[in-house]
Amino acid sequence: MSAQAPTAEKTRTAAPRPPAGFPFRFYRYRNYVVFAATSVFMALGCVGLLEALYALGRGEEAWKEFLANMAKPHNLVLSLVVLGFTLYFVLRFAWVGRKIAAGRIGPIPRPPLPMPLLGVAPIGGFLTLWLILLAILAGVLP
Amino acid sequence: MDAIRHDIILVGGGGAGLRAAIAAVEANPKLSVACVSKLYPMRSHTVSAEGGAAGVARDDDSLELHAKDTIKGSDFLADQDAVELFVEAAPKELYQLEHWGCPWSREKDGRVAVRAFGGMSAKRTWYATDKTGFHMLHALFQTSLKYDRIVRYDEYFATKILVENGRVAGVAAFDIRTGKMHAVLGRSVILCTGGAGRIFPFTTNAAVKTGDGMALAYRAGVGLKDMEFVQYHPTGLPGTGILMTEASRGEGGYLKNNKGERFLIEYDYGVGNKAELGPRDMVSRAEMREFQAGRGFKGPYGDYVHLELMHLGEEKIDKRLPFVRELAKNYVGVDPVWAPIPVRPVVHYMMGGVDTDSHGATELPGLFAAGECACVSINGGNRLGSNSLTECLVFGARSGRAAAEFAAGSSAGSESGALEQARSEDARLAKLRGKHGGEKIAQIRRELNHATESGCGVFREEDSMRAALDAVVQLKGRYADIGLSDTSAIFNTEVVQAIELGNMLDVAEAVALSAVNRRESRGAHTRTDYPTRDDSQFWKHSLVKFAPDGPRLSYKPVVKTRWELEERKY
Amino acid sequence: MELRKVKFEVLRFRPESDPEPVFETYEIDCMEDWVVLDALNAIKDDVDPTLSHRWSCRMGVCGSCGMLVNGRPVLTCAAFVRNYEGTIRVEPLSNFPIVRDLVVELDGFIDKIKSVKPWIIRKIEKDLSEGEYRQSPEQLEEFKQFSMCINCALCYAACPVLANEPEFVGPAAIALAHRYNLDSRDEGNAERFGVLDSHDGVYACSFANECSQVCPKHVDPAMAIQQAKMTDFLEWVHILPKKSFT
Repeated sequence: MSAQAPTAEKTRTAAPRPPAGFPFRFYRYRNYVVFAATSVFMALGCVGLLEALYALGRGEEAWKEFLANMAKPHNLVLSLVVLGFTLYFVLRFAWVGRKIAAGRIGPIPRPPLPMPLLGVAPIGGFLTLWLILLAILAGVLP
Repeated sequence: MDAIRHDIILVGGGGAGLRAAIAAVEANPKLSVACVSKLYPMRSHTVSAEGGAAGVARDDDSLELHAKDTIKGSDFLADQDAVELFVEAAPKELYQLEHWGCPWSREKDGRVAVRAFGGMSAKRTWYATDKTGFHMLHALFQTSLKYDRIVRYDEYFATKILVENGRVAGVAAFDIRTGKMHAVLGRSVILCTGGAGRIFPFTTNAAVKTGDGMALAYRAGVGLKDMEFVQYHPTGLPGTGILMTEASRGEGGYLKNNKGERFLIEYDYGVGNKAELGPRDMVSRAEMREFQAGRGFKGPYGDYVHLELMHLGEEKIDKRLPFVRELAKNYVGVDPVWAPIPVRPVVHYMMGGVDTDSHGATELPGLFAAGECACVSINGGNRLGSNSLTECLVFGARSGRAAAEFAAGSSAGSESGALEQARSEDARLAKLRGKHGGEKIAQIRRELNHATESGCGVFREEDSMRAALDAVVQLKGRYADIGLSDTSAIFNTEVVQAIELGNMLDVAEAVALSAVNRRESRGAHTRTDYPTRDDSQFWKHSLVKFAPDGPRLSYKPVVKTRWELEERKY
Repeated sequence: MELRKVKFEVLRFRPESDPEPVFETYEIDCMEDWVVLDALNAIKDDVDPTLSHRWSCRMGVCGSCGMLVNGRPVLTCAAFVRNYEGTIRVEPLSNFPIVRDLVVELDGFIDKIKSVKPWIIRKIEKDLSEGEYRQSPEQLEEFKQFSMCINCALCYAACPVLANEPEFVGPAAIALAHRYNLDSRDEGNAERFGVLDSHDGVYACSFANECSQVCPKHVDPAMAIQQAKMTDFLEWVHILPKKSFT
């Protein structure tokens, strides 16, 4: 559906070049790639939370087994990595989220709650759950 | 030869061109309109206009007053009947643009805001902060996308108007991307290609202002009217020539010399108590006289004066003149909130152009012109600021409707002659690419700039104008021996520059010829050897027409309706 | 004024003779207030007239002269030579097919702009004799920023999403759609919903924010896109009405 004439002719073109410095050489593209990679680790974190819930549902024994498993060094490290990425995601999402705070969206004037909070709430909740789990693992919470 | 067929062909996609295209399809939805432009339309030079567009919008103003201001501003060379219908159509066109989404700045009550401008006796300049041309052009371009009957040929360069049986048959235009020449056939052609500021070295104009449409019409036998009237804008940046809008003076800015005086008030330059809001020709002359008296600042690009905005305050500047602040900071390293901006007169607008009537029709049946490339004339010897954007709309719309009527009322004639002409244009283009020759494009262009600057500047006199004319004629001879290096057909911008240079040479010749023969001073044409206006001998339009042995100069009467000639004092 | 010799590494591509684009180096005497565009013009005028590049207004408002300078998308008429050290590398915009030298194919970009219906859509148009649609300065401010786009396409060159998904409608088009959706005179949300909501619409954006970083006119298209996502979501769950003239 070209806005151009139906007879618009093409000539031989050279292939589009990707943005310079992408993905790792330019610092902002690096940050963006890390941001994209958080999805992997947050997915892992979700799996962990689901396992925790499932263990809880199966009774005291299963829960203790689950905790013992999570206390293993490689799982502790993984938990910390997931936490790190989640924190990065929340901060960056909030940073972009401030842009959603428009004066008006459609006919509705600026909503009473600051928008970033609204957007950050679900992920913030996820972060909180994971912190609680880690605290339980560390023995701070029963 | 590839023939593209439409009903109306537009050459140029700026303010006038897009307005004409929309007017044509709205007048007759059955017609198809081709918009042939050497640029993507939103890149057209209309985009750089800053200050505003004039149209009566308040109860304390009147059409009569707007007409009187325009006629007086033109130093009484404007055709008064055309001015009358211009001022009447102006508000409607501006409201139409508002309906099409143009983000005009507003008063608190939601009405469009208007501001003061040079030579206007009431506030009637509509504005969109200080990027009015930008917002107008984008509103027009985006609105034009609605109409499927407007077909755009972006980056197609028109090189010749095709004429068959004494009537316009279309244009020969080549696709800059492929290098292929096409015969773009239609029953009417509207030229909206803008002015030719690039014949001068220091100009607010973009690279593309090379007078292409004027040259096309001229070579097709149509006269170029009032070419000697070249407007110098008083506040351009030295060196680059980048425009500092008149609105900066409209909002209260001062012009000061090296003694810190507001010289427009201190000395008698004819602007009276309008001071900085005097008409452009008077303010430019005042600045030049300050330079001559040694009261200008000296800089690497010549003398300059100061444009002071500091007293307006940061808030007002950021609200009304943000683009001016950005440009001054970027290009001369000056923040106008704290320091004065260096400015000097630079070439800005051509009052002259293709001779048309008030419908945009030329003497060649089917050929129309509108905008800066045309001369109706409503601007006469000097244009008032903010009349040009409105002019594009009013006469763009009028010529669009007139061209639609003409196309609908005529039948397609034979095409063989037109196709033949297009074929020879193709051959000419092919020969031009990579042509062997001793002269260089850039060198001839530089010498052309030098000739026009020295002969057709703010102050002119017989000998230097004659020298300029002779220089241009000589350059035309040397142009025939031009040598090009780029043999490619694909996006060859060297051959585009060569064609543009040829157009500029024709236009410059018309400018110099008309200038040397007008033995008076009127509007922007100021002669030190004939310093006064001579209504008895020169109250007439000059007309330059092509002839094989050199251009012919003649004159046309000015139309007067209600306003008597008087001394132009403010 | 001081002159400085500067080396420029410029990407060339002549489709009739070059299999691939190739860099060529030029050395130019630059004045201290020159921009990169001035140097390119000096190369074309006096050194190599076969160099093709687009430019027009040289004051940052027409949008013609966007290119990559040392890897960053900039308007070459606003990129001052004095701000660069060493050899300056000039390439055509990324993410666009290259037509010739520094000239890229923009047809797709124009099509995307057109696809969001960037014009005032209303159920009933006011007659011209009734004057203007009243719009307060506050209402104007709501969309003003997004109307400043000069269509220079630097944001498209910078966007990492476009590198892999060339059908993404893109920052400028979304910002323009959002500009009209926010304009109090417009009633066309519903007409633009389809394009914005589609697979290649607002949800293809993954918060790189690079578009806003490179925008020379501070349009902040990333902000327009995030706001458009929110608006789209609220319209989709019918919390917000879709303004429509049908």
